[in-house]
Amino acid sequence: MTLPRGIAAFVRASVRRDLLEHALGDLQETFNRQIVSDGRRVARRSCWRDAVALAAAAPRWQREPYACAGHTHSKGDGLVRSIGHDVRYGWRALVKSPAYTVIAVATLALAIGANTVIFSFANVLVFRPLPIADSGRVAFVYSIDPHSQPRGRVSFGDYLDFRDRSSSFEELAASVEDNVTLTGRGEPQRLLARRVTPNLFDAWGLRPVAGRLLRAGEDDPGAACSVVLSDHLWSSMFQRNPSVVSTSIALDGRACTIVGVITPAIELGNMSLIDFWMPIAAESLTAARDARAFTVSGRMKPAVTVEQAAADLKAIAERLQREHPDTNAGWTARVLPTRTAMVGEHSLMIFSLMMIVVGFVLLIACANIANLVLARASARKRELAVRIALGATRAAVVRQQIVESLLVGAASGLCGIGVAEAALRGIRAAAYEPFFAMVVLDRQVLLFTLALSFAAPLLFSLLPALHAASAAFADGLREGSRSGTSPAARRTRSALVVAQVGLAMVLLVVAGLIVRTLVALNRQDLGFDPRPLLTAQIELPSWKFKADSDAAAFYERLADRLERLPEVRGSGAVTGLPTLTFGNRIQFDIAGRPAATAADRPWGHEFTATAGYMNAAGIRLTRGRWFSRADAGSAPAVAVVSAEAARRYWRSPGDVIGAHVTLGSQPGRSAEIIGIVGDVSNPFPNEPPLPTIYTPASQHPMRAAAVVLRAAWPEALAPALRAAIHDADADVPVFQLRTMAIALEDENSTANIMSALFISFAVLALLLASGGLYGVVSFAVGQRTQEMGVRIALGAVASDIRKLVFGEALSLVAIGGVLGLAAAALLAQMLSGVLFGVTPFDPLTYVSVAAVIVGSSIVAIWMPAQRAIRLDPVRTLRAE
Amino acid sequence: MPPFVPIGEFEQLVLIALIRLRERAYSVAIRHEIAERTGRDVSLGAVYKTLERLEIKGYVSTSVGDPTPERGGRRKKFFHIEPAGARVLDDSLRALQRMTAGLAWKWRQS
Repeated sequence: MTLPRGIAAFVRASVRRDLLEHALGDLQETFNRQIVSDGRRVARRSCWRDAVALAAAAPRWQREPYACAGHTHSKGDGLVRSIGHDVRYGWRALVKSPAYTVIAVATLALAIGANTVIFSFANVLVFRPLPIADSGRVAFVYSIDPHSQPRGRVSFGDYLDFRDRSSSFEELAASVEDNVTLTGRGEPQRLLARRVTPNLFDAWGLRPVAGRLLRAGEDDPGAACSVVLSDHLWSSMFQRNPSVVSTSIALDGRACTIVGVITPAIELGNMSLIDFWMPIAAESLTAARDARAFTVSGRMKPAVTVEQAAADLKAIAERLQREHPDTNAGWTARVLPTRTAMVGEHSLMIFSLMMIVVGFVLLIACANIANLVLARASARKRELAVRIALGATRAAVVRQQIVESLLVGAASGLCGIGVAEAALRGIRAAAYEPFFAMVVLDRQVLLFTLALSFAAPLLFSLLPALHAASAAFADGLREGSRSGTSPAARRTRSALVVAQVGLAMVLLVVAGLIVRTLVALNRQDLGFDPRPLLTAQIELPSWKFKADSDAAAFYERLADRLERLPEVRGSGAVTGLPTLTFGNRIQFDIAGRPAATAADRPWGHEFTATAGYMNAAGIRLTRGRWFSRADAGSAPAVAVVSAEAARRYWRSPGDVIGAHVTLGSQPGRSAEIIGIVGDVSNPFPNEPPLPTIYTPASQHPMRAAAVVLRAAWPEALAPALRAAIHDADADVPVFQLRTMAIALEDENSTANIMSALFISFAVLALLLASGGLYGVVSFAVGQRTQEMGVRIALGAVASDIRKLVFGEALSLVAIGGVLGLAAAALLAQMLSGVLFGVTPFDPLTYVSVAAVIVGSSIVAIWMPAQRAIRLDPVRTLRAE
Repeated sequence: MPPFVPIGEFEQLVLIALIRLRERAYSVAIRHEIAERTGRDVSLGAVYKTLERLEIKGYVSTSVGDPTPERGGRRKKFFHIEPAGARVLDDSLRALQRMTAGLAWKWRQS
């Protein structure tokens, strides 16, 4: 006779390994004897009983007693082995309570995912190594005056003086962005060049990957044109062929020699857009001292600090103020270390704020899981008591629970990485700015996630584990004993609920205001209808379009070709897309009025446009007329003003038409105003429309322009538009070919991503807060089962019990809600600058957020309340 | 020599069973002996646990026997009482005797 298979398998699975052979032998022997005396059925039953008793006395997870008695009986390291046991035991315990496991892992995974996403942003800003060698010694120099932005660019004249007179820089370099047109390699392309003084490469410690970088002297006005390729252009255009070095390409109609390829390390953020590095153009060198367009950076001498360099340059700037009072009055210098210079002050602030928010989300998640663990601990009290009674030490019990929590943390970390990766993919797909392409889960980020997955479980398991172990020690196996009902523990849990509700409230209010802002932005009247518009940027190469009339003729040729397309309902060109770009800010004089001082002179943003532009863009004509082809170069000069300009500078619209203005100064261009058109919204949505002056492309040269095409299905016309432009002139590069709707979306993509992140965090906080409330109320109801039973036995009806449960829980929600509202109002006030179409105290937002909080709280309280109502008083009382 | 650790009643029973069974003392036999003499059906788990505890305290030692067919070819683990075990059993029983000496059997009724 052998042992019944089920028993043998059970024993193998659940009895301590070192006892296995004797246990199976004993069971077999007893079983065989008993079959003879009592028959197979009785033998089987008592054999099962024996097997279970053995498993209880010496369970599989238990350490061998010899190991803890100091005998060297066990194989391997006792602690490592017992942690192995803990892991297996923990795994089984988690599988056995899937509800707890799923809720805990999901909660923590979302919180870890949110933290990972935000940290991967911060990682790029703060921790990613810069492509600059020994970047601590590199600093950026700015020119600032009291009215300018805090990071103003520098004029070339000032740069030369800074370079020659300063004693704190080894190398001081200047650079400026420029667009160049590449021809001779298929379709002409507009590419982005960084024009530099050659010492920039030394100052930044950059290396070539092929050929060499620029040399001193190659920026002399008479020197031959040399360019350095970016790595990405080298791959995409030349298939990384090293023999392109010392060949030549045509840039802006001029033959330039490729001298080398720069390291790909430099392709970070906006610098990844740079296609060429070439010497500063000769005309920059002679530009006026108030043409502040250059980025200046340099390598400081050893042992010179940023503060010393700043003092040095400030002294030079003060001397320049005296030497050039007309251009430099009030201008001083500012020096920033590289990292600060490359990271916007705003982005750093926004990400710190977000880091704090997600940190709180993680804390809430941990608090919730701690609550779950506590609730679970009281359910597992007997299990713990049995283990302790059988000789498990308190440390072993705590350790086992921590190992179990670490398993939850590991699973959450893995899921969290999945969540973060999915979110980052979505962000990269939606983003337009190159910064977002740099945001990836690299080693640093994964280490951070690992640390979180390790720290969070310690946070949420240590307290409950200690608590449970001590409770189990105190209570032993006594039935009906309680734990966790001390006033201190209850207060802690209540404070937790208040904090969670408050934080959810704050985040929801801000998210609500952001949603309202987005809706208002989408609904705002732009002054034209973007939906039927297709746009493309073009640039007329100066080597080909030498005379102004060449450009005017090109636009007429282009209009003819476009209007021949059957689907097109209008076409035009303008110097900048409406609401996406500012015009050229000019001042003007109105004929017949006394000369105004510089401060009082009328001003406006000038856009140059073709005859077809107004109809194509859908801008409304309110009075007079728009340009026609009759307004040629030889005809009288004309201009059109926007409604805002008319309102600001003329008493009545009737006075505007026929008025003569002089645009700009020295000598100024005079023009007669022939019409008023509707306003186009300001690129800053919170600002009123800008006064605008339109001038005709036929009378003013327009080298760079945005072509606008109107059609029912604009995206379908993209190839036709490109073909038409090349048909009009084969050497004109076309870029940023996209519908106006997408152009607007690209422009707002960063704001949209930030908003989406914020809204997700707010929803996450709401879910966590509801879950936390549910947990706390369930726990409270569970603790008060006996009291409820007594009340029901004494005649309390459902509504009394409900009132009892709801009253207590809702008062916590109310406290949290009020605190949250106050905090939200404070935060909203601080955010009022980014809100549009909604006040920081928008009652609709606050009321609906409060309703959402109360609603979800009621749902969270309802379930445990129903459980309390359905209590059977007899059973609960007997249970005591 | 381990320090003196007092033993409980069930441990007394197991140690006495070891003395009675001599070389034949292994878990099944011990359980059978106790059941026969006291009428208590003790669980195999309790016997294991108690023997283990006595072994840790140094009161018993073990040896492994040959495989037998009635155990499905598995070995027996025999237990032997150590001098320390004998002494602690002696002390324990003597304490019991001293405590009960002179008491009338009447206490059962009260």
